[in-house]
Amino acid sequence: MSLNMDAARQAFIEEVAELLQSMEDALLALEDNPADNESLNEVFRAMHTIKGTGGVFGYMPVVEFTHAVESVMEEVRSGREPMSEQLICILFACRDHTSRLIEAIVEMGEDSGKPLSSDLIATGHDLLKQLTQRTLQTTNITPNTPEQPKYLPIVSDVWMIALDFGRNALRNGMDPLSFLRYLGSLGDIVDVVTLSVPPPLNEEFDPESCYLSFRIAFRSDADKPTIAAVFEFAEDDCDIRILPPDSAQDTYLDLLASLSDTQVTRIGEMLVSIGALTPNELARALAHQADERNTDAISETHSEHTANQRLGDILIQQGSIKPAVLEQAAKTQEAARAKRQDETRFIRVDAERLGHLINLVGELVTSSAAIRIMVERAGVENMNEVVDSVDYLVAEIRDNALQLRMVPIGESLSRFRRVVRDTSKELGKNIELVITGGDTELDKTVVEKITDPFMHLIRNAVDHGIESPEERARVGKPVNGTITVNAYHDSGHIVIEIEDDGAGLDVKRIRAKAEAKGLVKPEDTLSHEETLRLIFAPGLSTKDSATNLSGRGVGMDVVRQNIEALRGSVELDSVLGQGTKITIILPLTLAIIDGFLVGAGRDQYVIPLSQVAECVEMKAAGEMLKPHNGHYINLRGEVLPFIRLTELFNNQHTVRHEHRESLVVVRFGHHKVGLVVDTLLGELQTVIKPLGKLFEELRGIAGATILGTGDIALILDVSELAMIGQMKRHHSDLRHS
Amino acid sequence: MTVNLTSAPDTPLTFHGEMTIYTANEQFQHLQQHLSTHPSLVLDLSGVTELDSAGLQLVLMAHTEATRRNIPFRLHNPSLIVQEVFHLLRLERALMPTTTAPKSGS
Repeated sequence: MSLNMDAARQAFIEEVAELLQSMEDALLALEDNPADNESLNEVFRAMHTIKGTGGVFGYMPVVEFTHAVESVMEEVRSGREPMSEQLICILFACRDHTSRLIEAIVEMGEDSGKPLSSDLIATGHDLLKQLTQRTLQTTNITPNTPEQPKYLPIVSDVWMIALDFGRNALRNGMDPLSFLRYLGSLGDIVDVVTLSVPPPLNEEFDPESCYLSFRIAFRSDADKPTIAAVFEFAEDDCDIRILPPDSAQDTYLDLLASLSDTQVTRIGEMLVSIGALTPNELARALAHQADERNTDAISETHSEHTANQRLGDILIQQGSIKPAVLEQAAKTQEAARAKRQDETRFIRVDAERLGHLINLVGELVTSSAAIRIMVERAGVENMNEVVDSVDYLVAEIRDNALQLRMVPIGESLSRFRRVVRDTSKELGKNIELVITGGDTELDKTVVEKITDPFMHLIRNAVDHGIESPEERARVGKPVNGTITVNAYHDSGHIVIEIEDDGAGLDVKRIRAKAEAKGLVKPEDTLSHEETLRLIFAPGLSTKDSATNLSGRGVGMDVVRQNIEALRGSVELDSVLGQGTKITIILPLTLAIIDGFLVGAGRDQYVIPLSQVAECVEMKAAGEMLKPHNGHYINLRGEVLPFIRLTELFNNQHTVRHEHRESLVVVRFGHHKVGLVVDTLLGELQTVIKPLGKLFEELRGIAGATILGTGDIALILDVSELAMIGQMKRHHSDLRHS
Repeated sequence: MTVNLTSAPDTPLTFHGEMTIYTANEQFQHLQQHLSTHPSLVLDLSGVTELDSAGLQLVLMAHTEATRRNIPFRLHNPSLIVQEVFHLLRLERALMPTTTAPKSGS
């Protein structure tokens, strides 16, 4: 039971996170276009659903708070109140408060009955006060023309609502009167018949039991789900029947007839989807049906079809729906069933299971490499074909398995809209965030890990990068600053650029600061790029005072570490007064890559195939340039630094014999470097095994892999090697000049 | 909440303050006591500041009981709060045939 509760609670938390995210998106959209009905509905739905599910778990603070927000949204939705910028601001705060409430509840775990911290309660009260006071202020504004209701407009007829409260309703904190009052706010209560059925002898009357029943005639433009929502919390302690007016029936019939095939599901769900039936009514009927079925189980004569018909009967009996609507629903369902072939298209899968699958595929890749080697050694000719096809299949499985974890990066980028909006408001700056390439796909685990570094970079851009509007006007830039985030794929990597048109980095100040911190000596000569890169050094912040937003110790060095931990790299380009561009390059996935196996000295190395540009014979590559501490080669007229792996890793054969060296040209971003190896051994699929903590400081190595032979090969980190190569080149450039 | 009890024949039973689930038990006791000593039921609700479902139910119950015993039932000067609830439930006709309904509160 408690396990189930945990799972349910987890599902609730996830659902809330999704809802709050969509609420935030909707609010951002509303800021641009306050009349956007779809977004308005989205905000309402988010609050409404959180209230509903929160109620199921008994999280009363959440229910109370979201209910208040929902009520205000309802006013706006119905056009009685205009959507104002002020309201959007409050709603943003309400969204955040809801999120904090949920967090607080999650922390409490089992004892969710504990009182909330006074801090939270105060914020909640404050927000609610803002909400209601704002309502008072705006009441004299003429309301907009009423918006089209979401489901069905019912103008001229009367709903019949029957409420029979259970004995324990009062004891459970219900006040039936309050439901009626709330109902009154949705429309016009035409008449009420109050039935009070106390027990015959007044001695048995318990004043704390509830004996109240109401029959209500109600006139409203609201749709059925809205009306049903009024009584949502009474659900357990009250028998509720809501019968729509006749005028609604025709509309239901039309809607049913026009449902597209993909919308046709089970009969109850169809009726819920067009608003003729509320989910609770359906649940009640299904429960009733299940009871019936249990009692009838002995006869075993019920086919699926009769059960289906009986659900309809139950719905009619309990007064949820009228027979004509049910008939049309059955017809539509029948017609669609004949046509439809495709099943539900999406399945939710636990990320852990997916991770396990990918691990297994990794093992499979290693094993199939082992088989290939065995077959080659055994020299069984006719086995080759089989091994080839197995290899092909394994590669396909690997690609597909990895594809499962790919998600568009846009989702996580879009959350920065809010960050930019909030922080720029706080700082009094006008900043627009432009996101392009949001549909570029990336491994979910990578996405999760880059969110924090990204947040930092974006905040930096807002806080330090973009100048204040006055400053921008003074230097002749457009008053509105722009931050551009662009994502695209490039040779097995994803490249994400964050560019701002702000003040840029002051190289002189960085230099001064670095010298003060003892990171560089005054006599060192550094290129523009090298100086810029100093900001990635620990403890270097160019902004002298730490602000609220950034500069609180977590610096660019952490950003760099985080990204390098993902085998990625950061590049930095900045022109003083014109802006800063940060380019982040990340591998698409963390688990399995196509590799290129080479031998150098006593060891074998894997180079990620996507980064291999070409292979040439060392001798044919051209004259060696004069060695300046490093090695250069003239590759078709291009100066290319190269690294001899045997020198880098110091593992030459003890007996040096003549061999032909090969040059593997690898590229990383716009850097290119040559790797000199002894032998080229061909392509293979590689499962990346991370090296232990002990080897963390090792430069140029990304991980290790087990070869089919059982040997271990090191996977080269091309970005670091490229950096080593480039560094040498810069040093020599400087010496040249 | 305070309750005044006197033994004169047409004396009203007075409820003050809130009539809610929190006071329902106590008020019910008073009602029973009053019924056992009086030949009529006149409820003075002028001082009622809050009326929830439990309180309303008590009034309804008193009305039913008076009808059953065939004794006079009258509401004396109900406060605006009480009238508002009666209006919401359209109970004026049944409980207060002589008083006029207040303006709609909604």
